[in-house]
Amino acid sequence: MKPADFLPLRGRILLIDEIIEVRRGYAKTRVRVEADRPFFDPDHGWPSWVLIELIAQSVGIVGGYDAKVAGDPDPKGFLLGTRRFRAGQSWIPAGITLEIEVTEAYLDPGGMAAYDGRLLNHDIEADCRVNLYRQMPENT
Amino acid sequence: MNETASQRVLVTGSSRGIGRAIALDLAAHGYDPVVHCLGNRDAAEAVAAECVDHGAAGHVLQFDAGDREATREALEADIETNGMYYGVVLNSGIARDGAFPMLSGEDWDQVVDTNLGGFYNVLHPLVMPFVRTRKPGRIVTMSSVSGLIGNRGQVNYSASKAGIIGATKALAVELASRKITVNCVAPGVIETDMTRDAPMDEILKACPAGRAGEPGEVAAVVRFLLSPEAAYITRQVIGVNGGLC
Repeated sequence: MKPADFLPLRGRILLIDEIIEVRRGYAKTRVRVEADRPFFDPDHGWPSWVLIELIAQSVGIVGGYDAKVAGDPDPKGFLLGTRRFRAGQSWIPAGITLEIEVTEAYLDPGGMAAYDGRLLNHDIEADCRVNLYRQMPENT
Repeated sequence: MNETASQRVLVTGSSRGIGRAIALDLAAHGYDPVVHCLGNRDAAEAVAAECVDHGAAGHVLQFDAGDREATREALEADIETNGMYYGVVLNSGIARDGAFPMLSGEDWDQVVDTNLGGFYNVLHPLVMPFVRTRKPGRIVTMSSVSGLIGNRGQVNYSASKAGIIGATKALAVELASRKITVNCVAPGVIETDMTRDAPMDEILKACPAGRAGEPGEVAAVVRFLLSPEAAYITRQVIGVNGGLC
């Protein structure tokens, strides 16, 4: 399974390198921090706020997976906002491989959803909640 | 210039989006908008500079409309230095969207305190100065289609915007005999950076006009409500939503 199988993003802005696991309401993904990545600061690395995008893209993979299972060929949704973002450090240097886990916290039949995301790396603490709207197959 | 020349109109939240369009439209029609921002001073200064091109004074005020004392101090200082406003457009607002079960107390408080609390914080220090001028005045508040019909994921925002409608109507009754009109504009889906990432094709299926509105279309309604010709319109909510509701 490749990230592009579940996300509409292409090219450099697709930041997730690998899907470790995906199932309904859950995904675990992997990202290598490299100097040629978007938003990378050559003096410091990735600013920690990029983790929000990594978590959001991982949530998108869950949504893409759920839609594929439901037989929806063209799932739509958009990010409403991020809450309670916490990061234990301001910058993430190149050479590190990040593992991200996202878990569905709430999904109503109308498509309002919330996911909890966090880094699984023991030496880097970061987590947040992502609120989004997912167009559900039954309300298209 | 016309008869609106030098009439100061405070437009809160006018560094971008609908508020920016209102400020620029007013300046282009001879009013003197006072541009307000919360944090983006550079953007507000840029709007003010465009207003100056139309002959306005280009004043900028920066304060948090959710902070009662800071708002009162900023407004009292401005009218002490530059004179009372002819009109106020209460446009500033924030959204913290999310499903209600996941909505934190902070999400609720921030939105209600800023949007509905801003009604009191901005207008209360100005009401008596308005009355003392013994001249016609105009107050235009900004609600939303979300405040009229409710919107999924916006329980806090809908509550604040519905509250603004009630407050607007009540204040209109109190001030009508003073020749100060108080009206509300309730935009629907308007093309701003707040809606840039939304799936517009899907959202607009519910809109009879089949398109998003433009900020200038909201600004034109606000300008009319501020005009001398709108003196007999008060306590009203004007939708600008393409027939959405």
